[in-house]
Amino acid sequence: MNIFAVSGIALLSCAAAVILRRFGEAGAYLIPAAAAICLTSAAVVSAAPAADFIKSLDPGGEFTSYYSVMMKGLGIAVLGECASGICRDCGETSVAGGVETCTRISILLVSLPLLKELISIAGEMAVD
Amino acid sequence: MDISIILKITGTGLLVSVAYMILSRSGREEMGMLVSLAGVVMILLMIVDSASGLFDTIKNTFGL
Repeated sequence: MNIFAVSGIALLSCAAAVILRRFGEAGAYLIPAAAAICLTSAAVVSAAPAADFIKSLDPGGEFTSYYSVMMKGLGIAVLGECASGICRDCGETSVAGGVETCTRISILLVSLPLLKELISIAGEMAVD
Repeated sequence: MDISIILKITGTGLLVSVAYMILSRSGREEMGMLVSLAGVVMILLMIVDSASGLFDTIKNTFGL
């Protein structure tokens, strides 16, 4: 990911939003949203090799379920952060709070099987 | 990184603003309002298309 391009896009979108707000155009609030979507997409595409690398650390596939939970949680967090940031930019703090709550609960639900497994291992250790 | 959507939204916003000013100063405010509404709907459609791409990317990368 080219950090200069990212900074340029961010500055360009902020400048465009400021100019359009002076004209009273309602679309001005959607420029930061579009920029956030572009930058998040670029970040996710750039993160794909890192995800492949983490997957390659477990060639036997012994920890596939743990890896899957981690990646799903990361994906939900990235999407939730992007959506809540856009809502906050539009001035809708309560909607942003709702999105963040949904994000946390989704991550908790995704990681429930892992938690169950951890509790069962702890139970087995306690019995032994 | 595709920044064409930001430029498209900025261009649409500027055009709509100019059209609204011209129409409102020539006494056709209702037409100006319709032009402004059409511009917002156009921009929203662009955003929806881009958001759909983001969702697909996240689904494919993180296995959701």
